[in-house]
Amino acid sequence: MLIRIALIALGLIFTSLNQTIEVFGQESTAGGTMTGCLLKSGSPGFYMLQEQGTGLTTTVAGSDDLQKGDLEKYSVGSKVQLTGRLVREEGRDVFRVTHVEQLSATCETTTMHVSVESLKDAVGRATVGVRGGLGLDPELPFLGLHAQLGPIVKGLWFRPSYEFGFGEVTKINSFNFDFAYYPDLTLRGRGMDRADFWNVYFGAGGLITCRTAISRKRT
Amino acid sequence: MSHRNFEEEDVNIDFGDWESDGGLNIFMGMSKRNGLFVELRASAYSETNPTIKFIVGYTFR
Repeated sequence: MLIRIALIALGLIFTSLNQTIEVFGQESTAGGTMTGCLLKSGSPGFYMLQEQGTGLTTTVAGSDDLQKGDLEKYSVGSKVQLTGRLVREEGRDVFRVTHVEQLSATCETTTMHVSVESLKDAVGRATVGVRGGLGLDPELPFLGLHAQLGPIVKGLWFRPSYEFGFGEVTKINSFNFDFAYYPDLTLRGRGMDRADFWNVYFGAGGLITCRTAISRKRT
Repeated sequence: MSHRNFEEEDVNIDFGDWESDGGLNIFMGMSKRNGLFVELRASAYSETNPTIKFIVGYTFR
């Protein structure tokens, strides 16, 4: 029953996030630079900039200040630094580019190709972090550590973690082997500063749990 | 004349009550570019792990 409630809650949150993105969409602008891999998109005149490290993609397009063909020239997978403004156009965020600088002819774009080399590269870019929170059923506070490896394939990260739950009687050690997927979905407030954006992710994985409990037996 | 008896009880505290199992995690969350994240996780098939977890964390960049 609790699993069903949890799944319904996850579904409601995901639905509300989609709605929130539309509700908070404003037509304000913010200037800045973005670095990543420039790729073609399905729409003429529009391109995709894929951030290295997160795999997050942003729709980019030229502006009046940019020479025609500059983006097209580098859209074969070059690593570029774009200068421009993020604007809201027809319900989506578009980074209007005023200046483009090629950093390298190729970039380590995240592809669907899985190889030993790509896995080694993903391990090399691994980051670590700390976590804490509250568990329900049983109610336990917990602390933990995690690593984040990837992207192993496009937008997919491997995130193993260890959590130690400490109750009055029960201690739980959890080893999680999670895969997190970051779709091209962001949540933001009124501002257009990308540092304030929330990247939505979801995923699944396996877990191994070891529990120790203190039991008192009267003799 | 009355008197009160005190009976001592032996209490064995057993730290060896240990069990393990496996399960499945399903989760979703949001992360900021500076590394801060919040997450809601549901665990299935595990009798020992909390069914739902609210998690706040930070990934060092």
